[in-house]
Amino acid sequence: MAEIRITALSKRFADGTLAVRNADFTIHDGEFFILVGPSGCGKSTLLNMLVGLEAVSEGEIRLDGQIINAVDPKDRNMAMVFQSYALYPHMSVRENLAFPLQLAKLPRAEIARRVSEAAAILELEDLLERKPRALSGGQRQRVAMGRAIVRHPAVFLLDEPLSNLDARLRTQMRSEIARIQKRLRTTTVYVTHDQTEALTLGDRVAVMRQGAIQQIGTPRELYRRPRNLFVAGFIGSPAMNFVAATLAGNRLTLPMVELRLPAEGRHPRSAADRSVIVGIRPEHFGLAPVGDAGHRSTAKFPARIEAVEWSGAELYAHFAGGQPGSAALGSLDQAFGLDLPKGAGRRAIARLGPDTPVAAGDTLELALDAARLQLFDAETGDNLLLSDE
Amino acid sequence: MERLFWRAGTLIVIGYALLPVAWIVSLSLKPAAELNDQRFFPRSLSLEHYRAIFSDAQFPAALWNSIGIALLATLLAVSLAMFAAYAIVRLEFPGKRWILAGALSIAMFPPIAIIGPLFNLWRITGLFDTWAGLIVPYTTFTLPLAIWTLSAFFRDIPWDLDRAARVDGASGWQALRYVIAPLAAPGVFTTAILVFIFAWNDFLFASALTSTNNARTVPAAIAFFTGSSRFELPTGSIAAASVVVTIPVMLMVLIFQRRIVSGLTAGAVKG
Repeated sequence: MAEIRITALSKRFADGTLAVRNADFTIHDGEFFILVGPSGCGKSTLLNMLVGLEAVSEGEIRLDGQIINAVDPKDRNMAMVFQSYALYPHMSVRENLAFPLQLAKLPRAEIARRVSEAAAILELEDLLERKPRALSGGQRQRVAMGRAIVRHPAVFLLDEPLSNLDARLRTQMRSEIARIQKRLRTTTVYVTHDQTEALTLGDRVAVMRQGAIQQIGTPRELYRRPRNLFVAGFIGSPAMNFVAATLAGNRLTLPMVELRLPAEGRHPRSAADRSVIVGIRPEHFGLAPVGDAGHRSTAKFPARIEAVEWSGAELYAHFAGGQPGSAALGSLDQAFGLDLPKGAGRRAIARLGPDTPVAAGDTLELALDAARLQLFDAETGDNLLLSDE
Repeated sequence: MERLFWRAGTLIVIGYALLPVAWIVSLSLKPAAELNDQRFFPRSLSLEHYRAIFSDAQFPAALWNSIGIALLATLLAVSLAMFAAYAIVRLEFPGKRWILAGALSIAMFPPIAIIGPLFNLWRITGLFDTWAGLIVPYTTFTLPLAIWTLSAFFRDIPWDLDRAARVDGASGWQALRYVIAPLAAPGVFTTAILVFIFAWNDFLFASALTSTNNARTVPAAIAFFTGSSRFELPTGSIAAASVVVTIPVMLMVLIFQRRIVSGLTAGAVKG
């Protein structure tokens, strides 16, 4: 049982780069906590500081109230699964699993019991005498998990554990990891660059960028109320559509359509014309109901479909949103490292029902509900709907 | 067809390499009177040359010198190279490239160019005709090779394992002892064998920097073999001595062959 409290934690490398800046949060006991962000955002460095493989530059880490900044990794009672699995190649699976227990000088009978317990949980019983090189990727992954759980550690740390598996196995192991974590109820910190893993696995998720934590919240909070443009663009697949727009009063002028923001909610008002970035999830475009004016805040517009992606359960329609991409969006893209696709702000993606009769070249009447838009400041990238929080 | 080609090729190469060895073995087993009979297979076998070289005080002393000097030079070169290679692979420090380049340039240096100065230097410092007098140049000249091969091996060790062991509860020393050392062993053995063979086979330093049984090694000693009379060439003794010095090296390679198997680390990390 363990609670990790991180206070003003920073990591500065010898060459002066600030890998983690001023991280400040608590990971609750038994929680499945995810650190997610693009590569190089400092999430692995943060994890290495937790486990003690990387020295803390500033701030403190507390485990159940005890400061553990200077505690040796072997004494932290944390188990880690590495991206490379880091199985000991000269030891059999059984020896790999027993290694941490032997180091802890447990009695032989206890070691045997725990190894078979872990092997049972991970269905490794038939593989115990094999060497790691005789295992498939998924099996190695399970052995690495097994080596972590045999110790009954206070905390599990997983560093991109699934990134070396193929897509199918990844989905399978993902649910397996979730199952094991639910069963053992051990505090778990999971590092990934894959937002799907973050959303599906995490009790809470911290989104990191360039060493700084952007937002911490449940997957639903991150998806529905992203604090800034970066979180909005990073969470969700396909990514949220961004278009430049102008706000005057409660009238929002998008390149493709003009609509009124609903009176309820936290929607900002602007006396003068104000340029904003509008974020629209692909699923918030809908087919316009025929012959009906629809809801008051819903606007209809014709969209010329440029490409269609059909994947069985869903259909993604790419369409031109009107005017060319704005300068504000371009500079925000760079400032936030959003890595927007070419033509962002001009092209948009709508998620439609798989049975929608549409082909490239068609023109489709789409509907947009103003109540579901996200509005971002065109200069800071902050979410205007959350601005008074 | 392809297999046949490979087999025939292998046989030709092995035959080409082993023919001189077989010839030496054959010579060493012929009785003195039949040495010049121009036959590949001896008509009768005799161990008289072996008895002769071991009954002379010179050869056993040289053998002892060879073993001692080669082993000590190997130990010294490999342990120094291990530290150097570890630092080169694991640490970032200024001048890292220069160390590797410098090591390589020493390896390129022709030993014959320093023999003269070394001879004088060794006589002044009292290193002439001592074990240390040979161990020092052997270590020096094999260190570059050792550093290069060991850094190549160390670079292939998945160092994540070191971190994994630390998290698994091992102290730094235990991680080295239980995880890294077993993985580094094949590389260390391979390097040791290369260094040992260099020291064992060296003739240049051994002949120039020694003068008596104190430190003269077998390759040099063989050159000073004399026939039993001055009308007789020491062909048989030279052949017997050559066979004797070849055996330890062959044994060593055969024994450690299993340890040198590459791919021991396969499966440690992803791939």
